[in-house]
Amino acid sequence: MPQTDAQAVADEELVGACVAGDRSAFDLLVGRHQRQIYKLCFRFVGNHEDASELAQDAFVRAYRALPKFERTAKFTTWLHRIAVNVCLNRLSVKRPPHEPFADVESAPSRDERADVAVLRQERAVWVRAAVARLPQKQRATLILRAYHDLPHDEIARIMGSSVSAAKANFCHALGNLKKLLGERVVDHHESPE
Amino acid sequence: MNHLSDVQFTAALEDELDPAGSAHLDACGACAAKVRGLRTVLASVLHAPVAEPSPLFWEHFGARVNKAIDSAQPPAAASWGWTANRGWLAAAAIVPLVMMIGALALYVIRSGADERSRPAPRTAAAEKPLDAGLPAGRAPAAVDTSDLAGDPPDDDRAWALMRSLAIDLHYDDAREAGILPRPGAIETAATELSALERAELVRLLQDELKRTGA
Repeated sequence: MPQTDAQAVADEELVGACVAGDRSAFDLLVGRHQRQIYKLCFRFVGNHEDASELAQDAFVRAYRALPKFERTAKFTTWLHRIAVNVCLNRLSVKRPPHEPFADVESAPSRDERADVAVLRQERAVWVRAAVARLPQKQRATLILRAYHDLPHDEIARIMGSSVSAAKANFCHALGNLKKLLGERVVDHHESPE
Repeated sequence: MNHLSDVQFTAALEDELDPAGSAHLDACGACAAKVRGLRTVLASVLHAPVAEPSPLFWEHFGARVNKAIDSAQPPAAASWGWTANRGWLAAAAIVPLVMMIGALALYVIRSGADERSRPAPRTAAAEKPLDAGLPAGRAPAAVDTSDLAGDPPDDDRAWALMRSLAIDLHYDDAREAGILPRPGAIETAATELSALERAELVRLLQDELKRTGA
């Protein structure tokens, strides 16, 4: 498939090409969605090694299941569902270690004071640790909504639940996080950052 | 007074609360405080980004996926493949054997019937022992004839070969390979035999029953 045309082709068209035997179409799908799927996996496991392995596993499973993909569905929803299942399966088997504190955050920006950057990193670590302690459905719902900005109806399809259940799970997740984080919660609208 | 439901709290966080819910929120301090608390938590969550892997990682990621696809066998196909391979292997081993047994059985029946209907002096070839031509005391490598002495018809090399090949054929293997005769097939075949062939079959069966003591 020519590179210039490939950008304009919808995911679902690429799936059709892939099922017809065009392997390069799947390469394009991987290129388009690899960052999102990796980040999704990272949110679940909290370290690069497991996240990259899970993301790879999600794409391999997606490739195998492509012939079963229903063209009426949205490819990203379908792919996210596979990735979420891969992550939940992994978490049910083992709880991966989260990344060491020093590796978690990117380096402070030039304008950011060192103490503010350290504080920001510390908060991020606490938030991740708290998210990791949420029940699986709440955790998945929070990740998909807060970090991937997916609408509730799409999250409901991914999680195999109703839209109301997805919305309620999101609220429960935030409520539980508030309890887990306690005083560490900072109102970022009022913070000096 | 009914407070907001979880679904309504989520709607409030996303500024999509219905008019009735909004009116309640304006009047209810508890619900308003909860919404503020949830907003603060949500802001903290959003301020915890994922560190981006190096650009090199993305360059190699697609290749890693392709390699994994090429190297890994699909789970469903793998399990199917294993059982299928077993079946095909068994079939590949057994089908020629069964064909050979069938052909030899027919040969035995026909030759036996011919011999009885047209008696002839035995030739040197017919009297030749199975291991003729081999060093003394050594049987052919592929066929174990040690337990064939006295078997009916013990002077028939084809029958000896057939028995030796079939001795390790288990019913379960044949069933697993799907090569058992169809129900009624044996009866149908028996009705198609000539009178002489049926007589020879009876004789062979009786001899076999005597030999095994059944």
